[in-house]
Amino acid sequence: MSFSTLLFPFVFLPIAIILYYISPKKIRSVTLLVLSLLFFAWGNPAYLLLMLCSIAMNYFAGLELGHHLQAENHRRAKTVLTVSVIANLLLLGFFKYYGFLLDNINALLHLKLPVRTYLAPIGLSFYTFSLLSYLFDVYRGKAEMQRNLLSFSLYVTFFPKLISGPIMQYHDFEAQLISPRVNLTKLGDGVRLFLIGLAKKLLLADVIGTSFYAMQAQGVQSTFGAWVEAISYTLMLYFDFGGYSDMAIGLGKMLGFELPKNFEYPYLCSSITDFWRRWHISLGSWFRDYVYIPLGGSREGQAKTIRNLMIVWLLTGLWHGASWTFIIWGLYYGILLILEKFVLKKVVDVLPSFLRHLLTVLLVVVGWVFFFSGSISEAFGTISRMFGKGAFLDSTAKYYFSGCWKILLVGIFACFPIGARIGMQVYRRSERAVVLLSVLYFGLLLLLCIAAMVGGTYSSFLYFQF
Amino acid sequence: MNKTTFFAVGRWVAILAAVIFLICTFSSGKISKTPLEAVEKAVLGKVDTTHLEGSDAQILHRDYGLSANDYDGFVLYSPKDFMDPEEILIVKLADTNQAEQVASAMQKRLDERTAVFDNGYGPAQYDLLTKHSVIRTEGNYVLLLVSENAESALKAFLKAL
Amino acid sequence: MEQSNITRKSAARRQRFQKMRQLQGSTLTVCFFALVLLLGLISLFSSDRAFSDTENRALAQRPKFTWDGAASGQFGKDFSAYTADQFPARNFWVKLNNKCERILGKEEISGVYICDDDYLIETPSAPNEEELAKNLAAINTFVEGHSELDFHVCIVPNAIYVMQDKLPKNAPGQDQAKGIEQIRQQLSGVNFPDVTKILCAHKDEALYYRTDHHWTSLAASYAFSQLAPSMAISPVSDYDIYTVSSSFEGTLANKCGIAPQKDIIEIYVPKTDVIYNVTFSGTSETGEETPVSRSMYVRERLNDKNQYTVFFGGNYPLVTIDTTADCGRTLLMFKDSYANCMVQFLYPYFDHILMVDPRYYTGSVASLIRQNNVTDVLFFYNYSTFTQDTSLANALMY
Repeated sequence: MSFSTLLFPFVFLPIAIILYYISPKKIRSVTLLVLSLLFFAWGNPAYLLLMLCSIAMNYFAGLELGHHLQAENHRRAKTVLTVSVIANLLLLGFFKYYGFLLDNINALLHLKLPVRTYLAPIGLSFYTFSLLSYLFDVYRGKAEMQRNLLSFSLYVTFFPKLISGPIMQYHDFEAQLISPRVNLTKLGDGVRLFLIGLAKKLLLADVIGTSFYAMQAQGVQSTFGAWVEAISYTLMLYFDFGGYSDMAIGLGKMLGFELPKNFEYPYLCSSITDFWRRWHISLGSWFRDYVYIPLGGSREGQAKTIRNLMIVWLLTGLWHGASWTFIIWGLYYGILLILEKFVLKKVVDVLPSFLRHLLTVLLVVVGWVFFFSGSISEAFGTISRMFGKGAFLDSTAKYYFSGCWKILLVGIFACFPIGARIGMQVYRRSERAVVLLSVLYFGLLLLLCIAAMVGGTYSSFLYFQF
Repeated sequence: MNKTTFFAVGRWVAILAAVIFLICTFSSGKISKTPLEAVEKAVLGKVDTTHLEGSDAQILHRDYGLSANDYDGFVLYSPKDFMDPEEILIVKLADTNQAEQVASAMQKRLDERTAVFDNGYGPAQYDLLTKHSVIRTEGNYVLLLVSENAESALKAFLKAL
Repeated sequence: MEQSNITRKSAARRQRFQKMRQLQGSTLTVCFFALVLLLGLISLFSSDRAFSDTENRALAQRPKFTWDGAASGQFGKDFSAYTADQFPARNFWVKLNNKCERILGKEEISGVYICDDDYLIETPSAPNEEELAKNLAAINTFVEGHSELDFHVCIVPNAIYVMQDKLPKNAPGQDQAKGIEQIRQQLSGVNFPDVTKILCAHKDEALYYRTDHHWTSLAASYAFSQLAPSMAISPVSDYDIYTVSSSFEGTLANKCGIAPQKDIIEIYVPKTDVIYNVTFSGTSETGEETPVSRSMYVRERLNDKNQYTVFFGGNYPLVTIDTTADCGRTLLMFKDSYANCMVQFLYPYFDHILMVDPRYYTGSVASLIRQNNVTDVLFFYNYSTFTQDTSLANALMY
């Protein structure tokens, strides 16, 4: 099930909220678990069994870890951790990387091993990382082992974040399981955030998306075309993923949970380091807390820091997809971050702030070219066209531009916190006005969203494949 | 047994269950010893054959591009009238490696027939072809079904194997 | 003292802000759930629609719950489709969406260009090079194998080429003139009249329907003026032109949900003494057996959505026209739907016309030729269909 199809906001969500709120406190978690499992199983019920096996395995592993640690048996604990982590990663690898691995082996050794691709369970990358977070947190003592199978299952399958994040670290969720959660302020906040996310996805990402995919299919032949393509993708990905995250966090709030922020106006970044503090924050945090810091982080000298950064970014790229383009994308950022940290610091500080922002966004846009290209040669082809190779304009580019420049403009504006600023201005003048304006504004957005959902072809969230 | 052993056992049972699940879901299907006639009978029993007539190798070649000699047998029921979308093809493979080729020929045929009724010429037929059609590979049998009762016929097919 | 005043003030300000936020949140929540309730009630109290006229397809119905269906995920998919298809005021939302897309500058919806002068033109589809080569080779082989017959090939360009002036600015088109020329060069032993030039010369006239991918009878009349000399026909110069419909909304209107103007369908009846009857092979779409008819026009079709099927009632595997022309010529046509409004010009010049649609015809072409003493063979297609056809080569083999 996807958040932006008619079924979700008009059937599943209302029923879920009503059931959740009328359930007596003790049964709330059960209700939530049942809803989450239903949500997961809707698309592909076969994998429900697999998910339950994953939950069972990690549940028992957690208990083992907890008990071994209590008994000060660190060696045994480490074994359990290693085996469980490997089991989780093997499952992820089987669905996601098996084909890629075989393709490369075939290419290297000139073999023709049969490659079969398997449809991965939805949210596999996301919930695998959630599970790993649990194991690491228990092992390092950051959280207690979870004795309650219900609570543990809820952590894994919590439907707002199940399919596409934000990736919630276990100790954050653990804290929220205890305290009373439901209140009406949060519900209101949640609805607002959910509507914002829905609008971002349907009215910006999907609309820009139709142009982008058409351009990609046609193949743009000019500098101008390549830039339009790259900027379209830059905006589309942000509103798609950012919108989905907004919806997830909004849904979490409606159910009384605080999910971690995932995006913070990423294209207002002033440096690459800053960009990664604003884009897919929960993933960056996950890699920092569970890979970078355990490897030593930046505390063991320059050489080791560089090594750690490259490992983290290689893995980040790989997490996004089983393809060389994603790996190059990850390494691209790894190298840029190393340069920023060690080499360019003085240069960067000298530049005026406007130039710094512009250059950073430029680097980010170029990075996205690797993300959307089908192959490395395609990516380099597009980039070389962006920087002058070939004709400047071509008629196909002009055609697609005339069909999307308006929405691109709206998209660029939406990268800035304009809505919040306008809201504050109105609020200063009149409290009633801002509420009325909100209702009108969100009402209009919702109507347009309904039109988009009914009228549009089904467009699945881009990060779904992860 | 003490607690940690119990948990360890639980953990390994879960891993084993997952592995078994994966093997069952993704195994390429066992070779079935059921003779073609029995499979044919099982499938036809569930299907309305008023619009169908048995066809021969020439039609198999014309419609699917497949040569009957390559396989261990086939049963083809083509529509009597071009306007009927119902169709049944069962191919018994001589070698399981042929499965992909046969399945994609079936898919191509299905796509062609669907395209014919697209564009407003036959919404009911288009509906049947898109919503009540099945292409299924099971070991050494490949099945194409376009029929109102495709679901129950598919079940009969699987049961017969 | 000052400090605590300031903190009290900012605390108060924060409180007011929080209150506003709460009010905003609760209002939005109430409105959202009210809308959901409203939509829910509307859909509960309105019965499920079975068919969408605008989309020309069956709408999903409420799926029955079965454990099997649930386990395979089919029930889930069907239920999602059901929710979408039976959503209240579906057509209104689709129209609203289209309007918004147009405001944003989109000039293309679902593979249809929204053009000047209320024209809808289908976006170009790339030729299937492999199948095209197969078909051309099959035609050449066929020609060689029946060298005693006269062969004619006529490929008609589509609106995407002829009406390219009306396309949205810079929209990707298709150079069909070049494509047709390439086809001509690959064929040997056939007459290949050029209809592209004359259609382009008259491109400001109503050559194609505004809402449908077919060409009009007017365009067919121009094409006939080129086809006739190539086929050694001295054409009748006078026709009775009748308007049989002014309410035609065709396939392109269905595809994109917009019908800016309705189309007019005209029929051209040659002023000739030759009369004919039509024999349809196989049953018609509605299951009736209408083996013989006095007219190639099927009036009942004008009550359907797809009014272009007034010509012959659609596509049949084989249609035989027997005339009183008494000229000793019998024509075998391999055709697509563009030919349906062409035959009204051709019938006075042949004793028999056999119209074969290779997508459906399962019989032997060779025996057709023998049994009917065919003298001329005409391949009549529009460019788009011809370059994607996958059945001609097979049909010619038998």
